[in-house]
Amino acid sequence: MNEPIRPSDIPAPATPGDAAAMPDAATPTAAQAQQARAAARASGRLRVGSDLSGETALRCDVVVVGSGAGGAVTAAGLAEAGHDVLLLEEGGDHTRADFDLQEATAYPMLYQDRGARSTADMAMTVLQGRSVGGSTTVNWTTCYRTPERILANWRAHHGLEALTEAELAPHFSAVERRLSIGTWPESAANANNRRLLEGARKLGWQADSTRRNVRGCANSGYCGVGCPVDGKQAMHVTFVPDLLRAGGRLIADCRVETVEVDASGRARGVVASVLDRQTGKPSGATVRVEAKVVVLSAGAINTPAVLLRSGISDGPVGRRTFLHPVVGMAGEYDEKIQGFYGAPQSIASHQFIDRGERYGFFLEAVPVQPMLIAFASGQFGTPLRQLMGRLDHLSVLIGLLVDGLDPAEPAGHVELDAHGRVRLHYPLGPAHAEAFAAMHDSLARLHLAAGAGGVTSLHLDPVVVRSEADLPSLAAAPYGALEHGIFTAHQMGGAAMGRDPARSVVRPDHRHHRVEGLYVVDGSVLPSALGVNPSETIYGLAHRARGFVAEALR
Amino acid sequence: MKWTRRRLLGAGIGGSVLLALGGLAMRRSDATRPAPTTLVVLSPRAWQVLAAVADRVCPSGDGWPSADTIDVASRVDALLGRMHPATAAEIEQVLGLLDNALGGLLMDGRTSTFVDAGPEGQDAILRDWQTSRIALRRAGYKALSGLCASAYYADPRVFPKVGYPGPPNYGNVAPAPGGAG
Repeated sequence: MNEPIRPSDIPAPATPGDAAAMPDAATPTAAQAQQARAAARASGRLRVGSDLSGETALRCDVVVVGSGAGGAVTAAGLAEAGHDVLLLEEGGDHTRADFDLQEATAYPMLYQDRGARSTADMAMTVLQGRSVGGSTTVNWTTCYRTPERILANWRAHHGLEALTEAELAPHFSAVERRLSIGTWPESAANANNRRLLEGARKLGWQADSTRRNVRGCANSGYCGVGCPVDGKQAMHVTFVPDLLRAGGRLIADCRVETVEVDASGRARGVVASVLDRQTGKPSGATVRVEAKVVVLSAGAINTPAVLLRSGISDGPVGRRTFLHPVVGMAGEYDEKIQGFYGAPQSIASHQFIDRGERYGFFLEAVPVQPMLIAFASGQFGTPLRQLMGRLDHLSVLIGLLVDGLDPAEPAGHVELDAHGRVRLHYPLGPAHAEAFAAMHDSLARLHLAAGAGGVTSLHLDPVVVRSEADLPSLAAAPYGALEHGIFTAHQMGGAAMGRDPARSVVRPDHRHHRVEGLYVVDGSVLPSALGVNPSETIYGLAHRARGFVAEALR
Repeated sequence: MKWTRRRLLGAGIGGSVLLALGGLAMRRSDATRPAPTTLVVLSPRAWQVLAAVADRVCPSGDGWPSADTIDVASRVDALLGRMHPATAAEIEQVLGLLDNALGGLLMDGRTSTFVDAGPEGQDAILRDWQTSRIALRRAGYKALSGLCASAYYADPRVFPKVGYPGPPNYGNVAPAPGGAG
């Protein structure tokens, strides 16, 4: 094994370029967050699975199910407003002390289904977080406010007239301050992102630096396996400690099975299984929570699953699930790229975001780390070894398809199987294939413009493009399910907000259309995909939803 | 054609029946790896098939460590032990289908189990599954090759071969072996 490189060997830490988003002096630091956690642990307000046995009965004002972008923001705000808040998280309570930066540790520890979540037909790999902080613990930090054209779509088609840029602005400003969301300077982009920028500039395509939720970022490149320096302002170092500091409680390794609804149609609490951290299986201990209000924030796949398990299946529960389906291409360069180091996403191109009637898409980069790339390649034996043997010379760029803007589009759906497992289905049709082909064409052109000697697709039977003359063979390749690698890191929809109970699950104020005292605050309320990375939209909507939930507690 | 997980499962059960028939029809050689006695979820035979797959997904030579050295099959077994039991059962069934001699004879004209097919024969079978017109086979290939490639390429002993110096040391406390999860 090589000597570990020194942090000084990777690109120098950068200062955020957007000073306006810097946190003020009152914003707690990572060290203060650790103190809040330690105090909560000592006082029993932060508990994990191994702390619990038998049946535990708890009472609170509001129980929040899931500690990701939706749940943590909601829970912290309600606790700070003086309410008695209990936050339940099915994943473990992992902090940077657990993050050894090895993919072999991180994916089983921090991702859903031990990193092996996929659509039921295995055609799409699903990257989704599962620990305190949810997907924010492992996401690649890219933050955007919800684009106005998406809000306009929601106002026009989903009865969300209140959702304007002006309405959301104060909520976005608040979370941007707390999470230190600012523009990552172009000068700090790693070589992988730089290929995206250079390729786009040569082609005359739009491309820009992204905004990131970081404070004291070391530019390490390990966002996806748990930030080693608490530079990423993920929920487990921000809003979760805020909750604990305000007197709220957190139980990790605690999977909510059902929402309890009484005869009058009012949510009364939840029933949860305590999980054994090692095996992931129920330990036998249970938690029963009696609450005035239940907030589901388990994400776009697990929130519909909880509703379905609870028999709260009226309306389109688990329907219209959006995934921003992802395809990628690997460009091989003469020079070293070392895309395993440096902020994994810092440049994006929205050149093809609007393609009229066809699916639009946007272009970003990924961390070029060995397990992720070996898995994504779909190859075996000598071809896999040849690709991986050049890992440090590879740039891997991706396209993300924007689904769900057509209100009639079925998109994906979530259901439970006979084993009680959540199953995600995402039928792919000719319109997806057309967009996937266009995304591949764009990615190949980007790499060629940036100087790649060869560009390899992730088809099971890969296509290699060495010049524009090879593009027709890429266009002729198959783009159906299980013919090429397809991924998703953005799960949205499945319990949409809207005015019409036949077409949505919760009202514009996040309250369930029928069940009193039940709210959904997470990515599942989005009535379409976003065309940008979703984390900040969820933070912002959750910040706004605090007020609606608080009203129900009056 | 769409293949749901349930259809995969159904085919897997059929495959297990075929596997049993295949076992009656063809004598297996004994020249397979002895399965460890500490398996978490996989049967010894399924582990042997998986180890044979791992050896072809991540072959040794030219300084690359072997999949056996990295203990890929047992790592995958341990991972499956931490997943939903139905998921582990499906992987077991896919391994049965892949190994199945009678099924291979009927569909591809091959006369040996996967384990006994030899390196070139095994590569040909994997290639058949990778590019098969049957989505079930492509899904099976993707699951098995993905699990093996992930376990292998995540191992620090492989990092020098891919030009990856490994993560820098930020002074984080590494969890005890098996202590994370």
